[in-house]
Amino acid sequence: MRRGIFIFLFGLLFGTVAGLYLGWFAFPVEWVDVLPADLTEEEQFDYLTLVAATYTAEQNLVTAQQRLSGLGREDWREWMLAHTVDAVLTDPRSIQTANLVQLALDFGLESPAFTPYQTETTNTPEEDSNGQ
Amino acid sequence: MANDPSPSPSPTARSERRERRRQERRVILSLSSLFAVAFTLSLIGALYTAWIIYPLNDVTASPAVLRADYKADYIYMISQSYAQDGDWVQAQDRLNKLNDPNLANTTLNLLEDALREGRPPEAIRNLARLAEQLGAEGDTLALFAPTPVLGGEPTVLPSPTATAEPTSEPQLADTEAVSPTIPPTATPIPPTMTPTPLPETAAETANEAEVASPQFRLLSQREICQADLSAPRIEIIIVDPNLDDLRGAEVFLEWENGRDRALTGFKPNNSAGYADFTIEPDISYTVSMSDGSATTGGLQSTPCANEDGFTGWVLRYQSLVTP
Repeated sequence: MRRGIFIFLFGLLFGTVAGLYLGWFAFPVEWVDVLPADLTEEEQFDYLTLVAATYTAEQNLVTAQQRLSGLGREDWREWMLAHTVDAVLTDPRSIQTANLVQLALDFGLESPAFTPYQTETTNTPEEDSNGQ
Repeated sequence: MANDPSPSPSPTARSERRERRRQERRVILSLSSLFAVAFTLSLIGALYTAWIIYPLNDVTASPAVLRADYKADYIYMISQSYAQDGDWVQAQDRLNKLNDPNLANTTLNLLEDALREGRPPEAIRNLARLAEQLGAEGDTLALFAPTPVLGGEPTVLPSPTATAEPTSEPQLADTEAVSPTIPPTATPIPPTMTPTPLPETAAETANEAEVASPQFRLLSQREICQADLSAPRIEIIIVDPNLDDLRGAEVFLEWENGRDRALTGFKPNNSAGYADFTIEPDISYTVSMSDGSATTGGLQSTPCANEDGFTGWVLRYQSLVTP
């Protein structure tokens, strides 16, 4: 009886080790045909940047929303807002940031960080100081 | 019979021995079965865990494994983004993630699909530019991506194309939104500002119709290291609504106590839509068009991050008025 239990436990242990080795190292999962939702967080942000750039070119909010829905995020508005504000803080002058802000604004997202992007360009403080 | 010296085991003893062997075999068999069952069960469980519950590369899904339609859309979006910012390094970085050894042909096929689907002309043109940049060749490509004539300087990007349909109503909010974010900089009056203005006579000879374009939009704005130049400069590239270089467009440069202007197309080594201004570090400049539109402020030259020298700017504008 004791020998039987020992053999059973040994089988379990051996099977587990073999299974994990095969599943993780010998034949690991290979992703194919994934959705944007399966991309890494970093890739998803890059995807968002591309969606914003394409939106700036196409001015098609429906298509932009369809693309973002591929990310499968229920909290996509909060996620997008957070990333856009981050972009404003890290690289406020880049065209990518301007695209992101424009898309966020057109989706109805609001943040004090977006305010400068909504100002008329002809009223820049520099020009005012020059009296022009 | 009674005197037999080696008496054979009795039938009972033989049968007992046989029974004992049978029992031993049965025990061994049952232990083997037990091991096999335990092994099989745990193997299945471990594989399920390794493949489904905790796959080791759970967070390494890259654009290379996107579904085909998303991958095509990804390339399409890269072409639109590249057309806007002209950042070929970034575009290449993104394209490399697709691990497509035949990317040029893939993009060319995408271009043909876009033509069949009737995508907007600008989108098609952007795709064609990308395919051309990737080295694709073909009649379709030759038709939609004529080889650009921009100058060969590394700071001038290989003719990224604009993103808005030139013939449609201009949407200025998205592009002009860049400049207001630039913080104003209180800087001392430049002591010896030496921009490179074009002579008045050159301005007079410019095409008046093109100079008089009333409205422009900023397509891209990039700060680049110009360590190879003796003095930093702001490079302007202006294209017309058809994305061809616009010669004779008037550009103004303003700083705290000064103003200068230039016309595109008078640098023989550069394209017809090119003009530049020499600038000085730590002074804030503003570029504007002849009609005051597409004003871009806060342009400063600062020390390069990784090299000796100073940064300059490359600005691309598009005229929104059809000549």
